[in-house]
Amino acid sequence: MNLTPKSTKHYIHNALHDERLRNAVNKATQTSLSKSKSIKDQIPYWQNLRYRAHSIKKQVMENLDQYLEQFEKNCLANGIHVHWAVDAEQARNIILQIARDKQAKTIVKSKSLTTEELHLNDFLIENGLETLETDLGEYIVQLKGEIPSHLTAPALHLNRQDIGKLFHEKLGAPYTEEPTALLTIAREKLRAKFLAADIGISGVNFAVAQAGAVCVIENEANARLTVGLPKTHIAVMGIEKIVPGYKELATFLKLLAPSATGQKASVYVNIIGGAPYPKMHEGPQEMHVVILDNGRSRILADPQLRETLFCIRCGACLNICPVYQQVGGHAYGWVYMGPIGAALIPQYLGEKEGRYSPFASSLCCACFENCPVRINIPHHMLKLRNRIVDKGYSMKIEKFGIAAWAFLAKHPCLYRFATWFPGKFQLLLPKGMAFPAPGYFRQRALGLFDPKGFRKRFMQLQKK
Amino acid sequence: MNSSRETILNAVKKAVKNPSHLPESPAETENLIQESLKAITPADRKGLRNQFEKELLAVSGEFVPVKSTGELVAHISKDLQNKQYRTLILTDHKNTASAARQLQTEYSAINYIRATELEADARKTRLAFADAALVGVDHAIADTASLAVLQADSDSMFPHFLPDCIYVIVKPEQLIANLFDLFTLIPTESAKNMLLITGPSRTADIEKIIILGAHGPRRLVVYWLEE
Repeated sequence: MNLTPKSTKHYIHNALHDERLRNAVNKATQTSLSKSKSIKDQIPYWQNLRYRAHSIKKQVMENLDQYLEQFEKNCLANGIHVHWAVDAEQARNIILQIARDKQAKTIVKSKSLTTEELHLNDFLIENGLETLETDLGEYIVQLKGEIPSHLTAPALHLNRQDIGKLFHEKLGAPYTEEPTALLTIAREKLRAKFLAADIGISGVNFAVAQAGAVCVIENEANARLTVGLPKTHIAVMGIEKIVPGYKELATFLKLLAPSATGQKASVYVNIIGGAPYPKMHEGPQEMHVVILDNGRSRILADPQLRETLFCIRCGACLNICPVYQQVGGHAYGWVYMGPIGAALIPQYLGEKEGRYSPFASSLCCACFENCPVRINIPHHMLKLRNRIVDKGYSMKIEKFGIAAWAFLAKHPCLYRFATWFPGKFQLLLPKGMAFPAPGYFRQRALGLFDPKGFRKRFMQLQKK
Repeated sequence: MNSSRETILNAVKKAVKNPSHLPESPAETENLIQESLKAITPADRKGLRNQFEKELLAVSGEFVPVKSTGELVAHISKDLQNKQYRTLILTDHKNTASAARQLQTEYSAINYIRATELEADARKTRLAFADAALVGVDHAIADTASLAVLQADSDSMFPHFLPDCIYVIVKPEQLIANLFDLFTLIPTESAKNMLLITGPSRTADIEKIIILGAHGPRRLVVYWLEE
């Protein structure tokens, strides 16, 4: 992944020009917000639960080494194989080696952003393993050769016509745009794969240190089938997924579903703690957990940005973000998107490569208000902007703009002229035409300036 | 001990030495949560049962109160007939034993499969295309209508998520108020392999339209057996 200025601009430009995409994203985010609000309104202790969750995460992160060791110890006691991966390459190789040892041919996967971060599907397919996403949205984006455009609703940018065409072209199914018929096509294709799969790969929503168990949350039952039917289960988790025990897990379960999908509870909460069942031979007979760092310990080491590791990937900040609502997830150019993605991208990929992401925000703070774990995302974006500017990675036009503003601010007469001029110049233009602002115009309307000029208008408002 | 483990743990140990100075939660947080929970939790068993029913219907589950195993069997027989189901999976759960025996005697127009009598591979394949299953659960949670199943080596878990419809027998004494109570009640060891089910399987991945029966059961019928 190389997030160059050209590619970032290209992603945003494409998104802003795609009316169909903007309608799809807008409809989906508004539906999610309204459902989420109606559920949260029924939970009178919601705000206090957010405080509690923040406090738990803070405590976990400050003692993460001890919790990781406790989790490992209990996993081993449960017969789970524990692997540690410093980076994506190591994690991919561990998983490939397990697949080779098991002589696997088919792998089914449930939705996992951590494995998206590893580009695991492409890697396994390149190595001759049939690897299939099984969450409906993930299956759709995999067929389309794309990455998810939302943390919890991967195909949010596609409408039923797009999906109908896709299933017709890729699966040879008769064209239909009826949602239930589309689901039936996917369900039939995938059920056969579940039964034949040698390995199931899942992500991990929470890893319970006291129990040595992982928790995988979902609505479709595809994760249940992924971990329950194949003989081998591989769970891939970032080091930050730890919760101390079940008491703390309950808090996060209460927060996740209303924030992610507007439900009181997700349909399936799978808690998997190894322990093969020798009589029934059910559940995974062999379980592996891959604990991934891939830059997380670096984020942890930064006390100012550590809080970004508190994220539970619910997507609530995406749904409420006015920028995300306009451009969708692909515009961010990486697997994490929306406000939390904008704060994570420069931390994972480096401040130079991810230098544009923290600027994709209006800093309206809605993401902070909507975050179930109370992550102060706008504060982190400001901090990252600061560092990016300090390191000289900001765009030339921005540097020029700030320098020009600084110059004017030091010269009050010129500043007065500069704030008076646009309103007056505007009077020379045809009626209703706004002040020319090249580039800005293309996607949005620039408001009209007050002909009196800013200072005069501001003083009048103050008098009122 | 592998070197990656040491590398990661050393990096984490070093990282956590720097305190983050994040704000603490207000001191009254825990008290306020407890007070709110108390205020919204029904005071008696009847209230909890009504809450469970309401929440189950809200997640597209079906709720059927029955006074006896006989009434339960009559209702299931009728439903099997109406839906033209041809296979019913039976489990060894203690809640279902009596109903399963009576069903087999009184309603013979269906193919019964006892999950535990099949080998694991055959069980998987047969259940994947079965119409319905009669299952028990370990706990029911009133405020979300969730059902908790603790995995044990004496019974099969497949019937809970493979067939198209699951009939669940719940007894009043299994009902608890909320998720916090569940995790207080269950010892860590028993909760290590657990499934929580809240309504039929669903997806909203196509234009946010909810469709039931994504990869799991399309129907979830709870029989509230108040003998």
